[in-house]
Amino acid sequence: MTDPRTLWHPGAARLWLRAATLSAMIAAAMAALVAVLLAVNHAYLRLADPLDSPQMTQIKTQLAVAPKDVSLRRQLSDLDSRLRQDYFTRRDMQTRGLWVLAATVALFVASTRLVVLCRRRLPHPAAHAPPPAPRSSLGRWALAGCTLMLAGAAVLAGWTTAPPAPPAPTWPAPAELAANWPAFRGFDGSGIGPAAGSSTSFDARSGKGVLWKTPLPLPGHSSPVAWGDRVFLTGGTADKREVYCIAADDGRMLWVGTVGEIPGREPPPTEILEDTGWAAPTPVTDGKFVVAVFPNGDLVCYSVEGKPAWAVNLGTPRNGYGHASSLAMYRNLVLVQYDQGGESDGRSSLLAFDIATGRQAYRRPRGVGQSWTSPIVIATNAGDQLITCSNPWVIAYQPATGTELWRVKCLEGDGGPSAAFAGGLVLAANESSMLAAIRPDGQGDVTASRITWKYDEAHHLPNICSPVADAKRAYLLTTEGMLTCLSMADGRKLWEHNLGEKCIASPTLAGGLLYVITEKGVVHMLAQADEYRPVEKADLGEPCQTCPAFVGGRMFIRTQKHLLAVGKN
Amino acid sequence: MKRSLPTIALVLVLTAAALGAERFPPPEFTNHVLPTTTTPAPRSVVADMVYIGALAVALALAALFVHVLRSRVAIVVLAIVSLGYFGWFYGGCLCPVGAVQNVAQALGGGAVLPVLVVVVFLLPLIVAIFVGRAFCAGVCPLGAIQDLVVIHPLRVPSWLDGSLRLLPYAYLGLAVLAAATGSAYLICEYDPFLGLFRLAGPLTIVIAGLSLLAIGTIIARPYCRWLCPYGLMLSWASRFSQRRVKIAPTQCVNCRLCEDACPVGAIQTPNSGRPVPRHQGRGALAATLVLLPVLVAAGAWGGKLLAPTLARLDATVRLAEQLDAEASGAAAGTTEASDAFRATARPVKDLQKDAAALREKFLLGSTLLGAFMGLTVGGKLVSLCRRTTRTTYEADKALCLACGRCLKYCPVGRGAAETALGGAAT
Ligand code: SF4
Ligand code: SF4
Repeated sequence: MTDPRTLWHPGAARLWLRAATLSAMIAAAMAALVAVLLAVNHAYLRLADPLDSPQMTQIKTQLAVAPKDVSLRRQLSDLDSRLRQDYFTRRDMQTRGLWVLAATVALFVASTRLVVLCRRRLPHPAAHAPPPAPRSSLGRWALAGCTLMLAGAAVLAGWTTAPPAPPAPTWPAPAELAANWPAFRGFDGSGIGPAAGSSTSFDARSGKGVLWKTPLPLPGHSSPVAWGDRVFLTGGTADKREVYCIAADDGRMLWVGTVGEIPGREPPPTEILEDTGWAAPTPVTDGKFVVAVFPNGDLVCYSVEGKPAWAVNLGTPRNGYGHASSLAMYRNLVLVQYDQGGESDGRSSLLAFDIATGRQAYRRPRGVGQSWTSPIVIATNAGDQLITCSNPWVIAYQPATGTELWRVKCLEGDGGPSAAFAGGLVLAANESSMLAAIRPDGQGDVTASRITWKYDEAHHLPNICSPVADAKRAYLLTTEGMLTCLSMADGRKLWEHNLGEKCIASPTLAGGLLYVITEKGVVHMLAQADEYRPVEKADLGEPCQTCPAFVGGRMFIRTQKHLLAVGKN
Repeated sequence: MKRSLPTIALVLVLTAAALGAERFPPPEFTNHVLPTTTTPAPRSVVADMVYIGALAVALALAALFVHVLRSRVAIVVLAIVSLGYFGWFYGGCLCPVGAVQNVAQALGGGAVLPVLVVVVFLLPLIVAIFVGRAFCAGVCPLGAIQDLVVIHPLRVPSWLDGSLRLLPYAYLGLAVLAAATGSAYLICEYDPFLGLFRLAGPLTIVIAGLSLLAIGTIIARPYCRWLCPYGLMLSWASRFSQRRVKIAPTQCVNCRLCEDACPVGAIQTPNSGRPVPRHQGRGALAATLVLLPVLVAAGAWGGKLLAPTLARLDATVRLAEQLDAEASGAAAGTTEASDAFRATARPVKDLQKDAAALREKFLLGSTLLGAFMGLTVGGKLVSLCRRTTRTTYEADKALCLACGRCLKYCPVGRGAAETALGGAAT
């Protein structure tokens, strides 16, 4: 190539140099500008989810209420296409921008080459001394430095990529959970209370043996949960939802948490049965926080001192009778069995939230329709499991991750009774199907292999009350008051007794007794024995549909209008 | 050749999958039909032949321009053409630099090695054995793009340059380990210029490429000198080359005119006038030779310690760790990968078994890599003790990138070039 300096006359060289320098500078500036614009566009594309606009969310919320509204559907469709177009236009801009960037870089390259050519100077070696011989000591030090640098980088990589160590448990130990009553039917949801139980001789009408009796501001069918010196429960109406904290010692109302506005809350359900009411699900507590869910999808958390911690709305559940599933708790997670709609709606899910922060840990689609059962968390030989019941499946999950472990097809009809766990067997029952005793291991559909025994005497099967069992016997209670005792070894019927009264509350085992509470408020205390043997009977003085909580030698029980405590002072 | 097609198809499919990472739910309430997934057809055999032909011709031309015509201008033209063809037109893939990984994976037993890849991998190395790094001169698009932006190259002190040249060993070792275990193609993943060639890719990589080019204006060819794993292999091969770049085609007259000509510090200066006391060199050499096994052992031990970290290069190992962390409550939530794994309903135990097998492989590979690095450091220390007697200015066989810049500085060479060109310049 000809040296540009010789092209026309000596002055041309300077002209070339200037032109090349200018062109290089312009190209560099343009490249920088394009790069910045591309970076901004890139950040927008990375960060903004095109289909996550508030407008879109709003229309979708409205559509959830009126799914057949044609104009809403058209609006959503138009908006969807506009947002997509905008997104893909930006994507095209990115591609075109990269071409421009390449062109400017190429121009920069060409110009700088020209600058180099124009500025070439003849070498003047005589002007400086020959380069000194390389010093090997310096080389060794530098090599050592570089080696250390590499080793340091390796250590840093090891440090930064190491998976997080399991956190020191911030959640209560199993013994602590067992000593309290953190969830519906106790720490593992099986309805088994402490061996010590509470005093059995009481009468709420006369006040005999009743420690205190506190009126509850709002109605509800949720059961009390208790931790240490505090008892928690919920109440609600169509307009108001509340969480109560009551002192276990004297029944003082320590605080009332009234659920306020929650962003994104959908319109409330219109189809809640009076029998279900606005506060059917039982809350959970870990001794630091208490979390409650309501039938409009409000999930709220308070510190045990009554400070609001977090609140989300899960979306109004499509549930014919109203949402009634109680919360469960596993380590730091609150677990919500959010079954709704039909089996093919894809609406039902299992949700987990961090109890302290409300951060959603996972959401797993369940592929089932609406149900009213509560999940229970059990410790099996195959690891901890979360057991859920709905028509037709009993499904077990890994509670930490929501990974499905196994499922058994054994239920039919509207699911009311939750599962129980005793003697290494999961008991799942519902009227019009069976009571299945399931060995909780295996993978996938284990219907054929894991049902150890079943019991299907139709008029003994419950439709609301959950079964309860110890290692030897299982007890079933129907809404009509038919109480049946089965052998846990083989499902053989040991005895049956008709209480002759309507029962809604699930039976509980505590202090070696079986507690059966009728809807009228009569507490039957029976011996855990191979024959029907009543031990004591007490009167709550008011109708009752909830399960008692046993903590510290006391029994807390919610009647229609009160929470009362029975037991030691 | 036919055996190469499935591999190429696989690479294309994986590339397409990577580009199609942005997914949206289908539009609601429209009659939009989701397109069915298609697999791009593999590149035709003719296209492969054209590529190999172009590579061979470019290598031959580079050798011709450097050794016979001794024309820097011709090399620049070749570099521009190569950059256009192998870089932008061809998209920088398949290239000999990346082919290192295909070979490593095949040797690790994880893939079939197509003939095309073997040829692409070996051709520049074979050429280097005969005529030096002709590939780096003006064929490699990565080298070309850096070469063309050099404006005012600064001299990097030899102690620093020499020690930084340790990095390609580590990079090559890592890349081979990652590929041999079937875990990752690190060289391609972190190729700083691929984003510029393809006008697509992660922004961080594009920025890295632009930054290297910016640095390259004053520090010539930083990637080639201190990172390129294939460049390292070429430097090994070119140590055996019959022909090195001859700054002075006949007898160097020590005019010192070329002293500052090399932008990559590949010109060795005469040192005959400055003898080093023999006993000094000998002591250091003896100490280094004693140290060598210690370095190898220490490297192997360090590599062994590093194995769990390196194993995380593999997606299966990472997923297994994520699932563990999720199960123990250590993870702050689930990831797309762990959710996707759960959706497959594959037992976690299977995955853990695969991960354990991979960790075993990494334990061995990482220990070997550590030993290799120890040996490299030892080798470099030995070479620092070596005393050579040189009386003329010469291009270092291993380090010279055959860019041809020094050629026109040499008054002896100028005459030769004019002769080669048939006296056209006179
Ligand atoms: S050193 Fe590597 S990147 Fe540079 S020219 Fe040679 S092969 Fe290409
Ligand atoms: S040909 Fe080799 S020695 Fe000469 S300037 Fe280029 S890299 Fe340096």
